[in-house]
Amino acid sequence: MNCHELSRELIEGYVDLPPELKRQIDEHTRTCSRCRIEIQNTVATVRITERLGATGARREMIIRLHQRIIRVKRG
Amino acid sequence: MEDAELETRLLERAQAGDREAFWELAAPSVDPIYRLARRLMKTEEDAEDVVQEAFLKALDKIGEFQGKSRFNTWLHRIAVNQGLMKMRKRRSDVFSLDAPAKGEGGDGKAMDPVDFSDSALDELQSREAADVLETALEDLPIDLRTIVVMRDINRLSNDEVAQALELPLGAVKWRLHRARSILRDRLGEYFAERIRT
Repeated sequence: MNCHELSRELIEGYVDLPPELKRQIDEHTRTCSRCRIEIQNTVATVRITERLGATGARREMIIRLHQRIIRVKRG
Repeated sequence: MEDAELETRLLERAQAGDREAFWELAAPSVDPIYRLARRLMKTEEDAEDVVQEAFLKALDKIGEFQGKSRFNTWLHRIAVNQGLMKMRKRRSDVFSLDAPAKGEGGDGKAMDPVDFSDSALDELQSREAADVLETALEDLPIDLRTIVVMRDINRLSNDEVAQALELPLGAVKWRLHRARSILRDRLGEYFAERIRT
């Protein structure tokens, strides 16, 4: 694999790729710092985005929703 | 009991009118749906309204759910539709999720990237990076934002996102990659600025 074959899809989709394809890309990035940096930066971006999932709904809202689900009349 | 088997049993009970079974089925999706709604809507109040309306809509339509997708995926779809409806009523952020995204199908790599991967994942700096990302996420076009929230924050698969948004898988992947690229470049700008100062 070379820089030309390493498309945007493979860089931004790297975290989702099967191990064999990742291995082929890793072989290329061992000697290509530009592609390696792009992939490392993308992986870091995805990992930090995943951490934004730590937030959740307010407890009061969940209780109110539960009450409405139990009590609401079906239309 | 396997998750899928439990979901099927709860669904059968919910479709027979058992509200507690519906709640047991739906409750694990409250936080993900809230996270989605919060990033679709401009205010906390609107986001909470979208969550409430989405779950009540799901309760109303539970008899029509055929189990072709996971229940959580179906709820994401309903929540997106409820969010869109609310935006249209307010005539703000009116958009279509199935319209081609700007530049769809394009290519081209950024110039001279700065390696920020170690800094961004460092414990202290990752909090700052998360703030930068949250702002960058807010600035994304809504179709890209919706896909990032579903895929990278709520951890739906590409197939599930495609089901929820009724988009071809290729369009979901392209938009996800475009969004990740924009977010990565925003983080890159932030860390490049830090290095300079």
